[in-house]
Amino acid sequence: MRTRKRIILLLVPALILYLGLFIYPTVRAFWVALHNWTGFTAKMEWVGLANFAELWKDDLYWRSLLTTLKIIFLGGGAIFVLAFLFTFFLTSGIRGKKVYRAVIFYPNVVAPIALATFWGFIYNPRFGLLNGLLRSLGLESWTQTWTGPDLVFWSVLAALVWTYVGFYMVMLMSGVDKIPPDFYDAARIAGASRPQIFFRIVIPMIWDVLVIAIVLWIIISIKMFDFMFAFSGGLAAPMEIWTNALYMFMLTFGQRVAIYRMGYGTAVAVTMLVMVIVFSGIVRLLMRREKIEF
Amino acid sequence: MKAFKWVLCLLLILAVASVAFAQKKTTLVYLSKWSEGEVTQKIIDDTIEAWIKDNPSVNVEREWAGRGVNAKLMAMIQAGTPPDFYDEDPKVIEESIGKAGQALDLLPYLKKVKAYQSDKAVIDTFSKGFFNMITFRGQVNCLPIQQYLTSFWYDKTLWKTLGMGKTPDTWAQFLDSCAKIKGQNLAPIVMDGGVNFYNMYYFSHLADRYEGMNALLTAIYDKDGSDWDKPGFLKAQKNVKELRDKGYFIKGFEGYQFPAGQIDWAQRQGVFLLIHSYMPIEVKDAKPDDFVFGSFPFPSVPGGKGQQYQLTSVFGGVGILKATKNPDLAFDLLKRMVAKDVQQRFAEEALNVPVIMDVPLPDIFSDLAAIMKKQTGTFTDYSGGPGQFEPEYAQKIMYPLNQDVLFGKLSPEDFVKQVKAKSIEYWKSKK
Repeated sequence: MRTRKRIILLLVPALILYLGLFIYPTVRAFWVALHNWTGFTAKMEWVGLANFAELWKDDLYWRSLLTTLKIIFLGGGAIFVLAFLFTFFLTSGIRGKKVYRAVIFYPNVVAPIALATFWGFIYNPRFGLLNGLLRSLGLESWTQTWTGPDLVFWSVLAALVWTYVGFYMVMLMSGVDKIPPDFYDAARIAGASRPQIFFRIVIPMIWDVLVIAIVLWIIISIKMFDFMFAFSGGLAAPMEIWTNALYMFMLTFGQRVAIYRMGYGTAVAVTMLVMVIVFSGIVRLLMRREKIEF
Repeated sequence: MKAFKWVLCLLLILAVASVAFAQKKTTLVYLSKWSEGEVTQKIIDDTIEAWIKDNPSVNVEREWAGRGVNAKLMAMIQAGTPPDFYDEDPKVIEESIGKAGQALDLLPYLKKVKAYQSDKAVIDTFSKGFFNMITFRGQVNCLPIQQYLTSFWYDKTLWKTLGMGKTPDTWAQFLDSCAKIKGQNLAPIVMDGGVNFYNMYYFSHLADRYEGMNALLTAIYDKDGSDWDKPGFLKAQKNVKELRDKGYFIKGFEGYQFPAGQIDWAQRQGVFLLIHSYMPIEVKDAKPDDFVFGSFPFPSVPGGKGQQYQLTSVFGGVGILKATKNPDLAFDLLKRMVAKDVQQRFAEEALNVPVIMDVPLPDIFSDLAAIMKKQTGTFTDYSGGPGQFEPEYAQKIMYPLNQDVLFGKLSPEDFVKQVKAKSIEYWKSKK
């Protein structure tokens, strides 16, 4: 009993911090979303669900939501396909595995602001590396305005995939590395091919890691902000790459375009939180499997 | 022993008194959008230091918050420790502390207080009507300390090399110049097309040249949308479309992410750049040594109600928060920022156009000085925050639709139809 009390006592500071720094702001966000508020005064005007009703009719909100969804599904699809491919090759006994893994993971140790600037240079229509490469290969007709309204989303998506694939590959590989080698040996003796081993043994045995990775990607996508913001030099990101998070920032802190609608912006944030809960719940539900213990 | 105790008590009393006295020193807090190391920050900092020397009983704490200053201000207000000063663009100050009723009205001070080392009231050191541009709801929320005028910028060396003559005064002459430049395989116009408010400049200037000064602003605030039926708006967007269709914008401008366009311009990949007067300082490290800055005002249009020497202008200013306990003292510091010597430094070091009269412009602005001598009016800029423009309307309606015309995705006719319909809907939602 005394031990139990001591444990509770030790947990109290952490619990207070968690409640104060995470739970209270979340609950408070729901409250703020029900008000008209600029953030520059203590006075908030109660508007009930009017901010949510306005969101329902806000074209730019839906447009930014669509962009966010495209990042989740298309970006996520590309990232996981590539991460699996790399995992497949790097766990197949290839020499220099650690070097390849480090190279693929490398973008994750660079600040997103620096990465966005770097990709801005790659895509620059005139002196960019991509068009330069195409020209040097005699493919002048293939050169494009990569950051123009028609292509900018796809250009940014490619950059995001490049950035994040290493992180998810490392996550998946950490799961793969835990699989006992006997399983592979047994499968080989039974005559299983490499793809069969991958799909029948590797994937089922890293299922838990995969679920966590997917949920993590969903959360990262929904709050995707820094790359988009920095891609345009922090001045005004093209509308084609506005995510919900970026739109929320514009509505609340304005910067160059001085919109200070803290209440309305918080309503966007609330929808983002709901999205995280709903998507995570769906993923966990759809990917529920009997736990394999080994 | 008794004497020792008395001496000890006396020393203690003296120590307490000196601490209390030291604490009586008045402290003002200056919150700035500038970051440490920027030229403007240095000038403001030096001005504050000089003022403190003259007012030794006052201390000014400085917070160089950078461009995230508004979030910092929100936090300070919410924490119950608002600053005394806050520098930003006048429209941003209006949208933040102005509308929230937290900005001190500076108009009475401007009229009452004498300018630094002058017999004139502060307001009389500015040109007549200057403050009309930054008066909101009858109130002046800030004292402008920096000014930027918009004009066409070009490199005189390149201009000569191309064999161009006089700079264009009319729209027809401008189109001729563009055709000549394009004929020499050079882009006539450079633009950072990724920046939605830069994309407004051609349409807004043309609209006000056709329909008269501030006609576009009036249309934006027109709640029944009937202003949009004026023919000048359609003509303006048709002219923009013509520039696009004739290929006068630099190739790929739609994808130019700031500051790619202005760097290309400084490196002579194109000739004209329509922008504020902060451009020379922004490209000073990117331009070749023989680059000579030239500028000319936006041309007039046939039958237009606007004039060629009506210019747009934006400012950087400093506001005082109503919560200050020392408004007179705060204004005393503020007026030092618009003293002649300080404005001279802003002109020479930060390459700003001085806000007060009788301060000469540096040589780099010789063309601009000539333009200003002929200036017949100042109309609203449409670059979002710094301009006197409804920010939410800009972000949700004007910028997207204007950009669609500029990028060839919307016809000028459809622009007018859609902007009218969306304006009506917007203002209805704001009732």
